[in-house]
Amino acid sequence: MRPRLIILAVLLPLVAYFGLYTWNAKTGVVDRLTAVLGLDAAGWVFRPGRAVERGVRDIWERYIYLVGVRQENEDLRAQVHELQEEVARLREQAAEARRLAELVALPELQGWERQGARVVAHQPGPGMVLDALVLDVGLSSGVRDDAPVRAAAGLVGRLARAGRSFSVVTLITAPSSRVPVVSQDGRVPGVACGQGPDVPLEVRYVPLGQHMTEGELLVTSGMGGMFPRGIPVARVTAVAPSEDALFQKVTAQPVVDMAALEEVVVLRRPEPPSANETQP
Amino acid sequence: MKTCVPRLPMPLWWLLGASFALWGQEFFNGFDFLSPMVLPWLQRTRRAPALAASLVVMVVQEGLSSFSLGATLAMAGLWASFLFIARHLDPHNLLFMAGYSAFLAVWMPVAYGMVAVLHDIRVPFPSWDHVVLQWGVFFLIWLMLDIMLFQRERHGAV
Repeated sequence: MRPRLIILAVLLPLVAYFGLYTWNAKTGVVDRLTAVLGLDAAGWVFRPGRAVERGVRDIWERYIYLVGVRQENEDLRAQVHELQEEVARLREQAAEARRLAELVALPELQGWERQGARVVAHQPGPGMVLDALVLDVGLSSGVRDDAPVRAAAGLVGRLARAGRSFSVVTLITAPSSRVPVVSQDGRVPGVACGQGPDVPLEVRYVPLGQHMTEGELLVTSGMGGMFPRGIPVARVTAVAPSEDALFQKVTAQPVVDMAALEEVVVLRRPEPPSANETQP
Repeated sequence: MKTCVPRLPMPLWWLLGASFALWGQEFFNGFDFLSPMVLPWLQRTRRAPALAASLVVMVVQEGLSSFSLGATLAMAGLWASFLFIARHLDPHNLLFMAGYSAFLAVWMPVAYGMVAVLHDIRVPFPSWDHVVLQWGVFFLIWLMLDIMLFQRERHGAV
């Protein structure tokens, strides 16, 4: 192959790729297309699988329960089997009801509406290099990109991409995540930055003169307008002077256990009334 | 030797495969189970099905991705490297399959990392344990698909 041809074979795809990248950055067409086609298609594959997973878990739990009653007679065994199956089912329902009740009992946030959602997948695929979840709500449920997502315990993240029926949430632990926070007692501001899975958050821009204590709760400050004020985010785990003398080095542990999430609430701003509704 | 593989219609066969692959990705977070679907077609120089499989993989992976066009760059690199290397080596050789799977296991996180830089995000390279496991996943799925396609070809179903 001639050198000129090789250079062309390398350069042309590169130019095409960066052209596509720039065009998508300006228009977001590729993002929308892949969210509607790819994300939704994957979501429909994940959703029935969740039911199968729950079924398998139930069967496994039943098996564990039955190990201790093998010596009992057949009638009792059958009875115990039925009762334990019932108990396992009711326990699952009770646990779900408790989680949902906690979500429903969350205080109303002025200027925000709530949309319940179930987690259908956790970080499925190599592209999800950032910590992420897939939820079973999308544009058809009225949620939009960048909507805050919370659990009963606190902030989970924000919607990175909404498809028609499913959406991807970037968690607060993701390296791209930045959440403006304030300490609950001292009212010291900072920005909670994700450092990756299983790594505490780094709270940046905490001035040296301000007092932040270990164990103190950090809540959203509402600065920037993306997240409502007052949602718990993390607990301070360490405070130390920084190398750059201007700020303190603060780390914090998220209050939400991201791996155990099953249901969440997506916060959305109410739609402004249409022109027809406002006209007399 | 009789086999039940050819009896399944081709689109259903791939749909089931893609569903299993997606669930594989959900159970083993961060691993890529979809990309090997392209390799048996490239191996047989059947460009149309390879292109179709690539499009499906790209659209799904982009949809499930944290940022845009990572899967596209990863797939473009897969095509370019495969076509280049296969000009000089026999793509049906088991050693080639093992070696190329190893290359792919390294290339994929590199590609996503490169695109992450464009988005101004620093993503750490996965651990070598992860890379070795990903190599195993690529190699095994590719080998399995190759054998299944070979069976279908023998029965004239492809």
